[in-house]
Amino acid sequence: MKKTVDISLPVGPMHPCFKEPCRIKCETRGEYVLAAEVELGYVKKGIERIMRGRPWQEVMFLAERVCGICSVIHNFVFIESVEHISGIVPTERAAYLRVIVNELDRMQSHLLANYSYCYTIEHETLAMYLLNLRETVMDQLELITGARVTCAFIVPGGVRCDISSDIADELRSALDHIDAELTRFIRIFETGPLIGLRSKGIGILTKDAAIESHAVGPTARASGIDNDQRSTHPTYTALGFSPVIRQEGDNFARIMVRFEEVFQSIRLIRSALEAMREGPIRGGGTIKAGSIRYRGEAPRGELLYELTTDDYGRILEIAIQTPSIPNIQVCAHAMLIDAQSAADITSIFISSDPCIACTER
Amino acid sequence: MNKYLYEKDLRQMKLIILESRRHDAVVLELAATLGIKRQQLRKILIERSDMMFLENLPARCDVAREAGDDTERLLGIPLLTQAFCLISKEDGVLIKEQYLRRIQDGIKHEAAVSEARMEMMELIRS
Amino acid sequence: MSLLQHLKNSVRSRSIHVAYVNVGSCNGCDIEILACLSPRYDIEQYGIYVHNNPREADVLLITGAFSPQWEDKLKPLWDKIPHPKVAVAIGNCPISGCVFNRPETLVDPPVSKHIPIAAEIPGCPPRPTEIISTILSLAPLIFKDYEETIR
Repeated sequence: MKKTVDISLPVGPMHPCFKEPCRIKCETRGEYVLAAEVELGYVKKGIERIMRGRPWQEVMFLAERVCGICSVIHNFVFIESVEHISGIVPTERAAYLRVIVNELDRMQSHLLANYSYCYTIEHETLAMYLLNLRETVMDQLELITGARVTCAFIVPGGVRCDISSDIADELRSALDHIDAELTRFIRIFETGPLIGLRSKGIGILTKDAAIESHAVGPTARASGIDNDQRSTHPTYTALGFSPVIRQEGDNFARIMVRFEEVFQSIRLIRSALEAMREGPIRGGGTIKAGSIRYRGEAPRGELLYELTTDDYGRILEIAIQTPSIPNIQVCAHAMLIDAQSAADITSIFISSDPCIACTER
Repeated sequence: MNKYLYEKDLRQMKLIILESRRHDAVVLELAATLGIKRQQLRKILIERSDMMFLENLPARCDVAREAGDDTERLLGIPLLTQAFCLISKEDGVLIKEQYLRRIQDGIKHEAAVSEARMEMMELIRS
Repeated sequence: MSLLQHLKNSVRSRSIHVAYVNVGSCNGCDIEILACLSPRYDIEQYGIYVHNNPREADVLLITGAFSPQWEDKLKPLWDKIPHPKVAVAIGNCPISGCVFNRPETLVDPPVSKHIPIAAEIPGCPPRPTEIISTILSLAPLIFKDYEETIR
């Protein structure tokens, strides 16, 4: 990048606000940010290179470990793309169970993202409330799948284990608890005058810039772009899904979109529990040769898997485009420009929910 | 301490990003439009863009492919101006106008395209 | 044991400062460290404080297999931590490389090649309770009577 001024303000790679190492170099005049540049490579593992030529049974677990926060959706999209190649259809109960686990994962991811934002703007009380609420969601994930983070719940043709009526009741009461608590926390967030000063009108992302960089997920939906892969997924359309969209495009809107999506996930899980009938949770099938481009909606946005399989169930070619890639790029090259102070750099960056492990793979 | 710990040579890491499958496909596509080798385009990109931008190239190209009219797409102008940001949008419009003028003047299609390519390469190199 | 040493021991047992560094993990272990901060596990009631600043840390938590960019950065970071100090490897990645240690990979595990590791917590990822109990059981071994043992 061309140097426009002498002062280059580096943030990271180890920074108290960042969960992961990454480095932002800001060209500044005083504290006013003129340009920003992101330096990566701190968590590059080369997962796509490892995946090539391996059987799907191994790639399934590697795909889950692309990202530890949204591991369920990587599992979900990889298995569904392999299923589409081979013409396998999951059983009805399994399809609903997939939605339940995926939405629980989205809830914990959004709560973690909003925790990070509140922590960055130094509202530690609200941050701790949200982090504690996230533990309730993690308990439900553990109850259903048996693991907190990498649960490998979804397998071709179905899911790994069923839920009993006891677990369903537990899940319902946990959802009621989250619903009641979160309503209170959102009131704190919406009406807090200092939160408003740090969030409203800061880090504005215009619709044009978002479209040009292919921004996805809550970052794009807060700028008024109707882009949600769940609206084309058959199980979600059966549950009556409609995306959450806001128009402001600032930090506040991005956080509020995530809060509203948590409520939406609660509604989806409730209606999935209603609609679910007794039945088998696993079908059968064999993986066939073919290639596909398959998209799914991760907590951070649109996730794309492009893969080729052969007759023995091996993955010949694979490319993963994770939602954090466009989001961080648009954050660094559009949102950070014109930031008024150095304190806003971290809060704007965190508000786009960056996940460096996803970005670098 | 007179050693800059974090100012490291990033060319190797940037090359690893560009070697990935989808990145390779878009770099090949643009190199074919410009009529240069893949390695030359990779070198230009590594020099001019930061790592985050390189990671996002395929997604930007997906958007840019739908932009522009037929002439612009033939010359690869949306890719150059919008996705790769190698030349400015005003220059893109100028190149297209000159190309159309040459076609009107009766210059053959291939010759006009190759002249437009030369102009684009000059702008990129400058 | 001198009175001063006695005082130091009792103070150190209630103020363990922690920094964490991600040298190429999938994020799973990092969010489990983060979960320790939540009021459910409440890491601060044991006198453990997460600052993420190496210059005031006692314990360095390392997650992730070793990615190439850290080659020249982890050792200086370890040198910045004042004595007494200890490094704990969290998860399978710093120990063996876990699923990432395959042909064609970019990572270079184990981390113990680069800095001395005192304790390892296997798991993919380990539970927050395991992380807390490891720090609590390790800290007295390293910090108790530190001045007398090095003499």
